Amino acid sequence: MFKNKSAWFSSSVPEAWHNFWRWEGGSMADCRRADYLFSEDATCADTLRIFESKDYLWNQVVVFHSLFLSVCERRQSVKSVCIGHYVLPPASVQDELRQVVGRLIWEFEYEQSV
Amino acid sequence: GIPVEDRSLSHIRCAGCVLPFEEVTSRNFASLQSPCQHSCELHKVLQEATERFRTRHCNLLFRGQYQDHSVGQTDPEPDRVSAAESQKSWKNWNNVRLTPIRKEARKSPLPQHRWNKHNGVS
Ligand SMILES: [Zn+2]
Repeated sequence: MFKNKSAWFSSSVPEAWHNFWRWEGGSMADCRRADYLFSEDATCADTLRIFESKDYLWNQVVVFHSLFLSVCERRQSVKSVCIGHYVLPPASVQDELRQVVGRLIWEFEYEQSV
Repeated sequence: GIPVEDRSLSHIRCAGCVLPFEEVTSRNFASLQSPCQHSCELHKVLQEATERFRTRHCNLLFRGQYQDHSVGQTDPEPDRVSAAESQKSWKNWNNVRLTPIRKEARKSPLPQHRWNKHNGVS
């Protein structure tokens, strides 16, 4: 599923998802080079560091919620899983989204997929 | 539910919603999505809120760097993790790429253009 893709995982992401990633052919890389950055907690120190990096502030990188992986696992495919719904923004942005939309995007996708 | 692949629903499902995993990474997502003129409500709100975060945070770093610009405005946000370190790298990078903005506009490469947009400068 993840052949030729590299990922960095925040310490907030359970080990099981690291293993799933590798099991499906993905490799690991540090957060400056990885194709995909996964986190489960926007307030985790390593994730905060990304939100405060110049790459992030210059809109050159996004973090994805590791929920994406759990949906892929459940469907045994990445094909119908829209990764764009799993963008994990900083906590303050999440609060704003909740106020305006009433939910986060991945919550929307998750509901649909159940 | 609505099939994710259905591109005929693009009026409510923007690029951020329909791009397949194969084409998207953490590195290119923003540039793939930003030219999309028809962001769905969710992605529009997300983009706008994230831009506000960036602007706020950039200002914060600026204030840390240029003491003279911190005109009496105390930000309630505490200094975050490794602030010293991120300011250091920020500074290096800032010297290289940001300085021209403070003078009159040069031919700006794309990132500067974005920067201006974030800060509402034009
Ligand atoms: Zn969308």
